[in-house]
Amino acid sequence: MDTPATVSPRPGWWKYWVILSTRTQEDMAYRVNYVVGAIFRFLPLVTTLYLWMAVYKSRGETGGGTEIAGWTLGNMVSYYAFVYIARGFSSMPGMTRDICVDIKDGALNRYLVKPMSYFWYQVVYRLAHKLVFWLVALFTFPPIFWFIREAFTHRPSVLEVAAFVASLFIAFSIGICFNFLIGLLAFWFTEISTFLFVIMVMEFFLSGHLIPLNLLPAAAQPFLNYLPFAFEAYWPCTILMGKVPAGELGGLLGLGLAWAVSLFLACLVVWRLGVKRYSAVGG
Amino acid sequence: MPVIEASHLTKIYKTAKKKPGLSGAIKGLFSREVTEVRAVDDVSFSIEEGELVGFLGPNGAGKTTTLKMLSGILYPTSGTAQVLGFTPWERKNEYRRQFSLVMGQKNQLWWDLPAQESLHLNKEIYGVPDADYRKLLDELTELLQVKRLLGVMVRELSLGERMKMELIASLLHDPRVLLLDEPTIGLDVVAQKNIREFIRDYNRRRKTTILLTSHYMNDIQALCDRVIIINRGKKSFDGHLNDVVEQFSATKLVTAVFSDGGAPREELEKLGQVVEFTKTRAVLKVKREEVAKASNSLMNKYAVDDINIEEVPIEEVIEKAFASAEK
Repeated sequence: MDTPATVSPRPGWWKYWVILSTRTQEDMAYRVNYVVGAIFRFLPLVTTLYLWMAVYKSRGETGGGTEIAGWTLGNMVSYYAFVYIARGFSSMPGMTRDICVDIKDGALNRYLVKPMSYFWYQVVYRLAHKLVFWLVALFTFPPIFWFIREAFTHRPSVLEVAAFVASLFIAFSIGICFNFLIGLLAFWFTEISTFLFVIMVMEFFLSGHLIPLNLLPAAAQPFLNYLPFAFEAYWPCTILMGKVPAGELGGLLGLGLAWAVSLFLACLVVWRLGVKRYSAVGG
Repeated sequence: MPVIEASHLTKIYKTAKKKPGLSGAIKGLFSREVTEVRAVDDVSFSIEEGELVGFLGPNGAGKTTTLKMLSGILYPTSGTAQVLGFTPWERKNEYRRQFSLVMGQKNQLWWDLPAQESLHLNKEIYGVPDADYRKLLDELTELLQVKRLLGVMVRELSLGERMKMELIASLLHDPRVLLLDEPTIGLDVVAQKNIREFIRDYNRRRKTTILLTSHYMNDIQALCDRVIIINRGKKSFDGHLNDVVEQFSATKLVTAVFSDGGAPREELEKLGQVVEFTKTRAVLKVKREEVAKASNSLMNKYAVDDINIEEVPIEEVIEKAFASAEK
């Protein structure tokens, strides 16, 4: 046998960088979708804010004070605005379904026969999606934030901003790993679309996307606040609002990072088991 | 040392059998009857470097399952395989860099980008050096006449053009083993011919070992000296294409053209099976060992203008070969 095929001297991650840039270009083909999506995603925000304004108003009129669970209306408005930022990192629309389809219709084969990792492929795929999303959001978010500028009463410290940025990275990692794991269930179950919907709603609720977690029953909070989902929206938002004492930031981010790493390791293990099964029962 | 060596490869799929109707579905929740399908059953073969081997069989014969095992997508239930000295299903990167699998019905190109982007992506995934890439891309696009289409969105390409791009994408890393699963499926006659010629030339020039499945007889005839026939998971033939005819066809076709009056049908039927009969022309299917005798007696008894002895068309023989494997 002759010499093995020559391999370019580029590092191993280079291919993922190229996938990222290629994928970004492909996503750019749909930039109009992104713009329309970026504008219309704020529609639910309008109704949510009107609802909270009504709640605070009636509470004030009935002598209940101007705060709910220690939050003013301004806090509430800025929370929901920040949720859009956090979810812009942690939500992975369509990811679980895409993975299920790849597994079910055998498209996974084309990744299995190539010298590449499906997990990292998915990571850069989503990263590209986020890049385009934020490119568009840079234009659509500021006017809306300007419109509700009076709500932002807290001026975050440098430490809080740094912690917020770190928490966004954690939010992204947890979002990716969790959705990847759920998608891998398709290795074992044939029909999981209903289940995927349940998971989506659960993530929506447990992340604090729907309502801030501190409004939930006190008994549930110690539990829910420390699930990985809380790091997908609730914690990044409250950090930026200055609701997390500086002394607790380190521990909180440490916990988030631990969740991200655990989920990442779970992805590797479940992927191995899944592919083993896939290779046994037929692709 | 052979490039591909499969020995006693067996793949059994287990599927749960569902009884008909709602009550069947409910019963299925509690106890399931599992049926075993032997997709590939004790198949052994070995292929040398540079060979172009046709893998022939009807739908569901086990061709694709075998290719999937050789490309490492599936583990066999039992048996072993070595390709380029690797066990495919260990999926080592050194192995994956040296082979390619093309499935005619699946695409790997990115739909919303020009083909060149997908090709460039493959270059990076396989770590092909720039200079090699440019040279190969030039050569392959020239040969397949798709250079001008590199900048066109994949979704706007015709099926034939897309298949050509798929082939190029799978060849950029200069694989030593190429596994082609129905590469011409769904293509028109011209595109089929183009792809076929390209595969043949490529095999000759680069000495790439190619294993190709198809259910188009034309593909196999044009490309492969050696064929492996499998049906219902079992190998029923492995050898030269011409020998298929010898092995599975006990008869030849004898055509006689009569100058006047022809011959009575009853008389002809004594010589062999009458396939076609008119006043001036008759076609008989005659047992191999009786061909000489039959043509002699035709020429002696009747006014014969012309006599022609042929093999039964290969499609028909293959059909027979498939049928014989079923027994």
